[in-house]
Amino acid sequence: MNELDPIRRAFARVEPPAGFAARVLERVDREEAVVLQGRWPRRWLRHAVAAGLALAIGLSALAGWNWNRQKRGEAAAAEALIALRIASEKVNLAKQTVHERSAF
Amino acid sequence: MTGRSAIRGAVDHAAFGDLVREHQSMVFSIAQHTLQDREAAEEVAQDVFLRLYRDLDSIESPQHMVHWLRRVTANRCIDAIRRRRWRPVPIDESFPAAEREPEDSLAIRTVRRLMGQLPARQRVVLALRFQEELEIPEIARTLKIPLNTVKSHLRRGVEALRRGMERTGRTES
Amino acid sequence: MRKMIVMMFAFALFAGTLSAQKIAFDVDTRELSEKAIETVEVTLDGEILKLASKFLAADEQDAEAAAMIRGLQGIYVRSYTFAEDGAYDAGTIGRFRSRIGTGWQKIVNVKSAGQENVEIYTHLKGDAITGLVVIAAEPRELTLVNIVGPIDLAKLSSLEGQFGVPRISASTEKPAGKVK
Repeated sequence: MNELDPIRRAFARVEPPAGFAARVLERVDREEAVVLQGRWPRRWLRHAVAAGLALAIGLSALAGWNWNRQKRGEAAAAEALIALRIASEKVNLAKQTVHERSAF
Repeated sequence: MTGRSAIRGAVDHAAFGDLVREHQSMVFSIAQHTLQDREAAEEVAQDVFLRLYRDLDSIESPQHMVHWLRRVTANRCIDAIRRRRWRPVPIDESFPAAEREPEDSLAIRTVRRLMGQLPARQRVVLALRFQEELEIPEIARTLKIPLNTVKSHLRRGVEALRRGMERTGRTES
Repeated sequence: MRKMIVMMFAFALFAGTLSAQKIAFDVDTRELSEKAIETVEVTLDGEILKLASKFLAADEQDAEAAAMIRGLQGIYVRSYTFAEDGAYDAGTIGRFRSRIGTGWQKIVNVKSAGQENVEIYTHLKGDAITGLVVIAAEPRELTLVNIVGPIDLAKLSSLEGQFGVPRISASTEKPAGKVK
């Protein structure tokens, strides 16, 4: 048996979950709808939108700080996991090598 | 909308749906084998097709489309691995029972599990080689990396998988 | 006033001890990352490490990792993967090693020709480990790890199995296949 056979079989193509194409098309439709609505409104409406945006930005500043902290925390946690994984892997590598040698 | 090419103009909603169905297995499989996470794989696969829809102008032929899909999927997977938390999904959740081969051997399951330990680029190189059966020069062209880098990733990836299978004592005899 | 001076002195001594456990990475790593095809660089200390600990603690799946990080002062990792053998300057390892000062003890030194060389150093206070350094040098990968703070090596070793991947640690049976 070719030792690569299990590797080849492990990479057999798999189908995505049912309805995948439909979900893609829904996203396409949503994106097209956003693009169509993106045309800039008349001048008076533009001012109203700008004022509304300024208020929204102010209100969201506090929420934004929380969101940033959330994102920073998640990123830091992910990095910590990566670091611990790498450290754990190398410690075990040393252990494994020592064991393999002592077995003979 | 302006700037649609003949290809994009000719691809209506239904036709794009057909395109998706034709290539969804390839795109999803590259993502699934690389990320070992069904949910993340679907997210990447959807993003890839959405991007295809936006970039249809740039597609020159059906062959180019396949090359484009492989390249964009591979790059999105590499980005996803680097961004996401380092927690491969347990193999049983990643490959539901309905999609496993009838005689899904421990070796196959071990290979899939070990993929989660490999660096991002090694994973995509392995997926392009063993799933898509691309030759090394084609992998290099797809990923836009040097030939020797592909060989290195392939060699190290296969070595890591083989070593992992030996260590867990789950090679098939 | 006298009490304050004593406290400041004690703090300086404590801080000095901690800084001795932190090994400077910065020189050479830029060159390494420029040559590498894949780079992992993690620097977590101070407030950001505390934030990480808090976020990990919130997730049941990461409880063990969270417990490990709690009480640490720093986690520093530099890991570089290269396209070819010998792509990195082996002198880098010597220069990094030279920064491991007094107070550190080498507890593991594994060398295999053409394979991985792994060195593990610990900084002890009494019987407790207060710092860890790992240098893992392979033909195409160089990894440097420095953890500052109380660390349990056995728990660190067991973490590998927590990440949804099989452990590769020693078993009591002779391994199948060829021995490298």
